[in-house]
Amino acid sequence: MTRRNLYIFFLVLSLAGYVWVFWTAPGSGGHHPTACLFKTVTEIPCPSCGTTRSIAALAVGDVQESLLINPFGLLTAFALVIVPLWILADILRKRDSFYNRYVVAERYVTQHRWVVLLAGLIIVANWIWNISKAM
Amino acid sequence: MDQQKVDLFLMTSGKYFEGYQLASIKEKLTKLDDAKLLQLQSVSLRDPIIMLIVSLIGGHFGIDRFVLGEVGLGVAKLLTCGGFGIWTIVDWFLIMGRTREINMQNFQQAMY
Repeated sequence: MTRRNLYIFFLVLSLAGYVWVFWTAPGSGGHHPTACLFKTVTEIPCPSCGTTRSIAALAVGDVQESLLINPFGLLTAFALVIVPLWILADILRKRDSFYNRYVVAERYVTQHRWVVLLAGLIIVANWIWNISKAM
Repeated sequence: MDQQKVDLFLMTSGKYFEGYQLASIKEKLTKLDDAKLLQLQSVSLRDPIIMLIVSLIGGHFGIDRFVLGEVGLGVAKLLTCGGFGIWTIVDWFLIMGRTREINMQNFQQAMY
């Protein structure tokens, strides 16, 4: 993927994330939709189910509750803050630091099988936890 | 490279590429040194049909993007529940073309 396409894609995805978080926020009129196609079809939660609730808990400062709902929420919140800022800084300063780091990280992961295995184990463990919590 | 070997490669691996790319692949292979044949055979090419099946089954978790080596997009797809379900469905239609594109990139990397 080219630098331009990557930046546009992640900016649009981040914007969609912010719109989603604010739309579903407890004070916004009580929208409780499920974005998860997997859960809608199978009624089994996916590894990322609960991310929105986790971010909502984090937004009011309840880190422990956020972790208990879904640790992926913390990761997503971190990405939602860092990624758009980094990309915008890159665009303004006409640099490629995010793109370069992204390419290097992607190459590292594809060349080191243990990273993939570890990430897979974490995802499966979180999925089992999610199912047991009936998210 | 020997014309027979080129034809054999195109016959067995043609399905991994877009139709319009085959002419340039043939041209490159014809000019290719025989010593590079082993390197060429070790190029990891993914079957677009298999990738479509992976996308239909595991696309929601970003597995299709992980398999293609697009780890960043895979993580993004996983964390957003398949891009709120929309990206999952869009990828069912795009993944075969993307697989062929990445196959071509891997092929070109092996050539140089």
